[in-house]
Amino acid sequence: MADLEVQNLAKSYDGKTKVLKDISFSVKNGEFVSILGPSGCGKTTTLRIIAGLIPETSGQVLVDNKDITKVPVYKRNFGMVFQSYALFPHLSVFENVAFGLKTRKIAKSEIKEKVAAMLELTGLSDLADKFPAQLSGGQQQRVSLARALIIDPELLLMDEPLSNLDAKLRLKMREEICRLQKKMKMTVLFVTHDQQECFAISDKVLIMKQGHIDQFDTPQTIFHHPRTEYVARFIGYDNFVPVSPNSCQDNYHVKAGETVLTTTEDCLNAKVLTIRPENIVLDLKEATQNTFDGKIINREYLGQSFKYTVESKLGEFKVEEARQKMRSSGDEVTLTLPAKHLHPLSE
Amino acid sequence: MNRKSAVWLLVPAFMGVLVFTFFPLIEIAIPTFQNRNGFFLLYAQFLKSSYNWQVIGRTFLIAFVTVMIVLILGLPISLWIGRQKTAVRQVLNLLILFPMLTNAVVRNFAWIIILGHDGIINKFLLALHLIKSPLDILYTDAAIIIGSVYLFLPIMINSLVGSVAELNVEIEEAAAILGSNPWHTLFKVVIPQLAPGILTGCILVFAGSMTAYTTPQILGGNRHLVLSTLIYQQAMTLGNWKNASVIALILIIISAFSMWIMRRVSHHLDRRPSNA
Ligand SMILES: Nc1ncnc2c1ncn2[C@@H]1O[C@H](COP(=O)(O)OP(=O)(O)O)[C@@H](O)[C@H]1O
Ligand SMILES: [Mg+2]
Repeated sequence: MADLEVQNLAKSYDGKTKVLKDISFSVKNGEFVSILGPSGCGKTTTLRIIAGLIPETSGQVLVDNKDITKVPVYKRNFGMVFQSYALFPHLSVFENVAFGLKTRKIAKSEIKEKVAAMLELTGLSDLADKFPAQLSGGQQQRVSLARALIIDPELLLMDEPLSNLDAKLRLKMREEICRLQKKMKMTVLFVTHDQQECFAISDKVLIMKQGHIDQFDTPQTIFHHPRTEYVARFIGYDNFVPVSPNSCQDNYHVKAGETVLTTTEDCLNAKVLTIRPENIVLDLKEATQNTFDGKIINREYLGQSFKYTVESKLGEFKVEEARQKMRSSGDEVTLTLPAKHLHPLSE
Repeated sequence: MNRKSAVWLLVPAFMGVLVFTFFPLIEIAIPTFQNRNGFFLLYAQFLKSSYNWQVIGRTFLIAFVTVMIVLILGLPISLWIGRQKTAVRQVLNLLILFPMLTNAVVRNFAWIIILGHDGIINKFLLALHLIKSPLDILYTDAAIIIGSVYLFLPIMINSLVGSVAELNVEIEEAAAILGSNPWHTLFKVVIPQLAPGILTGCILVFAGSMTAYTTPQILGGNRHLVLSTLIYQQAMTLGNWKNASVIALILIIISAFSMWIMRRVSHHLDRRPSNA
């Protein structure tokens, strides 16, 4: 396993529109990094350039500080798991897993040993003689993973590997991938459009938007300090309060309309403030700041809690409140936005 | 009416298939075995002649070489056509099939003009001073092979293009990432997946080439007989229908045996259970 570094990567398929614009990031040895973004933002393109399947328009890919941009796919030592699994339909499970060893001209006896060990590790020993068409989706996924891992790749690339599985199996495979990653100390680049999935398993998350990186941080940092409105929306910040331009006087107080709001983070360049629905408090008695009146206009039942839509002079707010108390449409409430949960965003 | 008695409704169709498929064959086969001096006498006589063995050998060789050339030419062409956009692919498919719409006799006469002593090929080679006197191409086995390749290439391409278009390109990409260079991928990943299409194409071309009459008749002349032209000669020129039937049955047996061999080879390439 190795370090990966991507520098100023750009890609255009038709010579006109840039699908990727200046992508730079690095993945350290043994790290699990996810690329998160909506469909069409360029995740697959990034992964395919790193794998060497398509040429970049400009930029470099470095592995352990060596530029591999011009090395053909079959000479790079990577593993890849495809969304469609892409198993060899004419080969048995055993032969599928052995394929990468055969191309490396490894002795037959050694191949047999290694494949047997890998099938054991991935729980496929009983299926060695089956063909891909005889396997379930989860089993095919395992074969695909085993096939990629057996060559001991410097980097494992996965393109939405779980998106064809049902919810329960997804969770199981996710844990399995985590277990193998830790056990084999793999460097992994994992593509997904599912936020929960990616926060659960990643050391770092790279959030992509229309061909560029919006934020590249640990899941905790992204969760508590989204850098842009786009990132905040992506990870469940439902409330956005526009800020009056140049209304920040002392870095911690800012005006939204005529209301002065207090933050604990520097809000000098803030364009908008954001807060998660579960962090807004209703009818807080001892409130002294960031508090104003509102009226409930809608209620949704979420199981553990209710989600209210509240109308106020600063616009509509989504508020999540525990189930003990049920409010109804038309109820008058006071909203409090605790300063430590109110994040200023500059983009 | 219940299910059991409904089966009887199939009887007329069943009889029809039976009569039209097997009756002509049986009609041909039975007389060849009716001989007072031995059951297989006519066959033994036919196989005793070294000339006949020559004809069998030539027939088999021409069919075999034709299949090989058609496959070697057809595979890359099909790989190229099969990977085009659907609209382009349809136009190319039509173009490929176009020669099949012309009359077989006319097509073979065109080859006489091309391959003859005064033909384009000889004129061209003479003009370049590559040869001193015209080559004998027409009325050789080579001429028959050239004509057959031209005749059967569209059939091979047609049976491969569909399979190529259905290939999942990601599977080849997966192979490349696992360290397989493009040639290795072609032989170990692409061709095995195409095995069913290749098998169909080879069987069609082989059977067609074994039984073709017009092409060997026109391009091979009278000194280069194959089994089908020999049958015609026995039946029409010599009026010996029994011998013609013997040859016909031998032709069927050789064809069937060859197809069985091809099937085995194909299964060796692609051992998916659905194909077994
Ligand atoms: N082979 C291609 N030719 C032209 N455009 C493409 C090709 N592949 C992807 N694109 C375009 O590039 C953009 C990014 O695609 P992709 O990398 O597949 O996104 P994602 O994987 O994030 O869904 C999309 O707008 C898509 O239409
Ligand atoms: Mg994608």
